[in-house]
Amino acid sequence: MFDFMIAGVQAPIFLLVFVGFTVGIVGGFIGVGGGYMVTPALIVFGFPGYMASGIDMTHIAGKGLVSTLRHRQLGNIDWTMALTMVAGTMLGVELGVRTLVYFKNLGIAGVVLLVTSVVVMFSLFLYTQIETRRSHRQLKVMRTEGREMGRELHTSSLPKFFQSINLAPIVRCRTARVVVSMWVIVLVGVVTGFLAGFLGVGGGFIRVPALVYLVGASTHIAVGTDLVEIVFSGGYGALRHSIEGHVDMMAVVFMISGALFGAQIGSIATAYVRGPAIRYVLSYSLILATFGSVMRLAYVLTGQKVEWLSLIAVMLTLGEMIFLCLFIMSLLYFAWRNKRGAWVPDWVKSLVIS
Amino acid sequence: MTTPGTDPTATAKGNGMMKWWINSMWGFWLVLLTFSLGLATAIYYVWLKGNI
Amino acid sequence: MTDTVNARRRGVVKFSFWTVIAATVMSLTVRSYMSGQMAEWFYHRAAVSGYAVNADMFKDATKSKPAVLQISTGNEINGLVAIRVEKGDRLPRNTNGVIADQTVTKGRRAVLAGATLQVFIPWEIKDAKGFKFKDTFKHKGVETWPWSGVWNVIIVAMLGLSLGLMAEGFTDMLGFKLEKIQHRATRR
Repeated sequence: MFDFMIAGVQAPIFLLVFVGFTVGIVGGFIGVGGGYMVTPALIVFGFPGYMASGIDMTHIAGKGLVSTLRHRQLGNIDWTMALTMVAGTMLGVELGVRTLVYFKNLGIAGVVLLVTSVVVMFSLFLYTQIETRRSHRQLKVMRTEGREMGRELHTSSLPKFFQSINLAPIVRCRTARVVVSMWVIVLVGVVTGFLAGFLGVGGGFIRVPALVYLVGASTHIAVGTDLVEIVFSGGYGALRHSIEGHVDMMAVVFMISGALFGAQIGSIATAYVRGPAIRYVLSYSLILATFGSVMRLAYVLTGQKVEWLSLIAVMLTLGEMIFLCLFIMSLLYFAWRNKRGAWVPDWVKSLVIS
Repeated sequence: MTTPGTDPTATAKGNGMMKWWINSMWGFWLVLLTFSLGLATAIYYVWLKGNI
Repeated sequence: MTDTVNARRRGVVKFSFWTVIAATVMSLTVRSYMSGQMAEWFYHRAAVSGYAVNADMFKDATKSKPAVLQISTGNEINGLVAIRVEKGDRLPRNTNGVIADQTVTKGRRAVLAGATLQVFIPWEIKDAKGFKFKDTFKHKGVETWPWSGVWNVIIVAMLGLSLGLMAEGFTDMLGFKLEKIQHRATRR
């Protein structure tokens, strides 16, 4: 146990490093900061709520930088897209925070927040899961027919619509191989930033699907580019939270120590899988987070009397991190086996690179 | 030729009853999730139960 | 073969250099934290007028056995002591919260009794977003040194950068080749 003199709690170092490690793997793989998992986990460890948010945001900035460097090496970052989105994201976050304060003054922030997060996450889960399963089925058929499979396949028709919007200036995102109006990218930044600021998260779980399904970037590029945004929004969040007195730096250091290893595994794992594999993991993350939010909402709406609801929410938060981490490591293991010609389940063959 | 009491398919890789959870994506998902929730519960009861 | 050896050598240099940087940043951060310097940045000024306290000293107080804090002057809190501060004053050493005048006036959790401050309810369970938490006097009424935010961001950026490049150097050193991903879409 370590005595965090600023946070005023005692918490086990091992758990902080473990959380940093697991969320590092998940974040490096699907391009999220992991705040919707880490903040509840830190609260369960005993940190006050506002400090949990502050510690999480600050660690996300550092962890995001570790992942971004690796994704840069893998060629997963489209700098044009990233830098075009930054201003929109910052503006969106500021609007989101102000909207949250408005609801806070009305005294209904807690319920509105939980309901909004449930609706947003569930909708994203449904769309991502349905589209990814369609892509996976097509890849299976192509593999059976012996046709060549690229790194990515998605079946959504939304990108064509957004790419057809002819509003100057038009930007060429060379790495992503996308030509789109700058305003589409800025709009994605504003909307995702707004949701992030309002829900108090980094926004990766909204931005990655938005970049894939609206802008038309490949999943790998969406992950790497989103991590760049997370570095900026995490850094800005870290500054604001530190000034408000929400950050205990030792907790951040412990978590980044774990994230160092996790982020490497997660980022490098993207080199061994196709786009649908990443989208599957993202959709699982969304549905598990949705269940956790539903449990917490039910607990709040029942007047905080039904204790087992709160307990299930805690189990889901911790269990989700472990599950996603194990799933990603399984995919990596199967990819390694597949490359060596060893047996892997049928459903894996079209998801990994051989 | 099959000798009495031996079924060659029972020993073939990927065909055993025990492999249902790995051959099916949903089975694999379910087993991993159950294990993860179990581990989370253990972590909670060992380290975190005293916290609010 | 020579290219591989050279790449590995570069990897060794890269890994060593960034490991030294990462270790330096980490040890300076830990030293700054453990020596209490970061705590001083954190508990910098009083955000409200009231009594600077160390809430850990009276966390076991109850209504039947309240904590009795001697109101005194000085630059340091030692034991059951409360030091009068006005809004904007620098906080004494070992302060981790300020009991606001408003709280004392209400009299539900703490009251003035002559030259002492009596605390009945040092903490209570509250709820936020479906999570229960312990609401103590810790962190209440304190203002952090604004420039500590800048320092925190610099520390985190240096840590992220040095650890990330250290990891790159490590994989280069091992000869683990990571090539740029070909972002080729599948033709349906």
